[in-house]
Amino acid sequence: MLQSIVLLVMTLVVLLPLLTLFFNSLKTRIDIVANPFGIPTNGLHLSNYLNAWIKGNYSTTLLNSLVINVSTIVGTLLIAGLAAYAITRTGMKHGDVVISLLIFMTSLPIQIFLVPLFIIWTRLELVNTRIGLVIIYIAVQAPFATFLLRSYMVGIPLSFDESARIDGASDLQILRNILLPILWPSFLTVGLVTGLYAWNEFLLAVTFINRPEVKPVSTSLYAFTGRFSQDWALTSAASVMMIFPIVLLFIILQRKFIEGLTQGGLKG
Amino acid sequence: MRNDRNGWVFLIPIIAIDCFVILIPALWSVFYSFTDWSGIGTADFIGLGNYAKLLTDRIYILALLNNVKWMIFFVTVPVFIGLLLSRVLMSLTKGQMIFRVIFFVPYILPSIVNAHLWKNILSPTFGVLPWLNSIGLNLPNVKFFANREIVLFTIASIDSWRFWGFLVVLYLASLQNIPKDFYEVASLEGANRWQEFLHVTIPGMLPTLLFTLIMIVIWSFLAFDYVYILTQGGPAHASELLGTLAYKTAFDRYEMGYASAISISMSFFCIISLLVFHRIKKSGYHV
Repeated sequence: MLQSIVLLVMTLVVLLPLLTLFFNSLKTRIDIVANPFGIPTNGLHLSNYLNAWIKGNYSTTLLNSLVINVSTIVGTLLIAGLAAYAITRTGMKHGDVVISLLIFMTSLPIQIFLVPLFIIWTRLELVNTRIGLVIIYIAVQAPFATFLLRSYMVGIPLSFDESARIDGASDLQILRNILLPILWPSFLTVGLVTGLYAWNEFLLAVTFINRPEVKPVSTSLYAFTGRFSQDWALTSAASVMMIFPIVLLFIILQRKFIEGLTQGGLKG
Repeated sequence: MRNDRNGWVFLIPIIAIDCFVILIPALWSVFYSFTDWSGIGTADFIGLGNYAKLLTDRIYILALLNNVKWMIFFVTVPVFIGLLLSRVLMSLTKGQMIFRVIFFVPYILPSIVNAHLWKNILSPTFGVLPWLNSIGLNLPNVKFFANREIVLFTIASIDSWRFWGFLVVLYLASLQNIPKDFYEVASLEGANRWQEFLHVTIPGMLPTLLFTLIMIVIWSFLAFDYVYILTQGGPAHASELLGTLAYKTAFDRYEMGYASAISISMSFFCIISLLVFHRIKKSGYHV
């Protein structure tokens, strides 16, 4: 009985704020004044979404986020896939140590490399470019992605590689033709974690991009909620549009998301 | 031998990108921290001047204390909720999955959306308190983000609203790994629920529990997003954290040397925490 109450209360604690966000995205500003926390009673104002789309410049920012996301995922999987292969299957020594050092580096505060990197990026004209942000995201994500891929790759028997090697396959061919077809679900998991990071990331995006044309959704929404802070309906609609792709993917692939995001904690 | 060389070739991309983006700039920061550089012009070497300044800078001390408060909040409140709910979910015969998914949702949402959501709910003009008062209750209209006494607690609560679901999932997985026999033995020996929790559950969860505690300690020193988005450290530095202070010192005040010293002190605290964890792990989790 007590347990049911705890469960019910905590479920409401999670869901009520999210439902409020969703409901308020469907009300007018005036509806919200009269009824800020109930279900929409005065019709569904889908026009909030159209307004937020136009005023928030979503056709540009969603495309930017998509480009940044896809490039980050592809780049991270490529670099981390190679690294995980190297440390698990080539018999090399000290590869694990290198990855541990890189993971250590990426768990330090971002502020420690932010200023010099900003200066380098300014010189290289990578500030205010999507590729500039993507390179940083890959650097930050690749070590942990390697750690995750490694934990999956060690599960595949080395005899698979050896028979291919006897047939004359190179390391790259083994990775692509033998391991990738078996491990694609693991690559998908790591890709989801990386993509989620790139979609939600704030600190680096707000530092390295301030031109509206190249802004991703995260920092664009930050500016938007500041500009329309009194219009809860409009900013809610804009927020829902940002989280819609994540929530949709999460509902379809929740096992993979949870697995990827908690794996590090379980393996310790 | 051929393979060993190939191994290193495959590691070149990751080593190169991380040296270029993280290691070299980080070392550069160490250098700046000994100078009075302002972002342009020359950097004059001032020895340990910036570090000496940290010790006497009232705002730095305030931010550091806020980080410690933040850490104490996070190693208690979300951990308690995580332990409690993972225990509750463990005892469910069905529906475990759906609750696990619901509790996890806030964790995957972006900081900007979570922050915006709670800023409106807690708004003193159209938030939940004015609304409750309008339907007849008579509550004090707390200004969650303007009141210096509670602003840090408010933001920590919002961040932990997003975070505890993550702990529930980790702790649940850890509980499921404790062999059922242990509980049977405990009940045969007449252990009550509290004894069972103390002598079976806690030891079984210890590696996961310690891992999450140390992660929380490290993350506490990295905290940035929610404070920056909601108050930028205000009012009057009441919610300032080392992360926001370092950021603003660099990008608003252009004191690059001093900002570097702040961020290096943050890294120092993280490294100390990691060393402590390493020590505990090596001793086989015997604290």
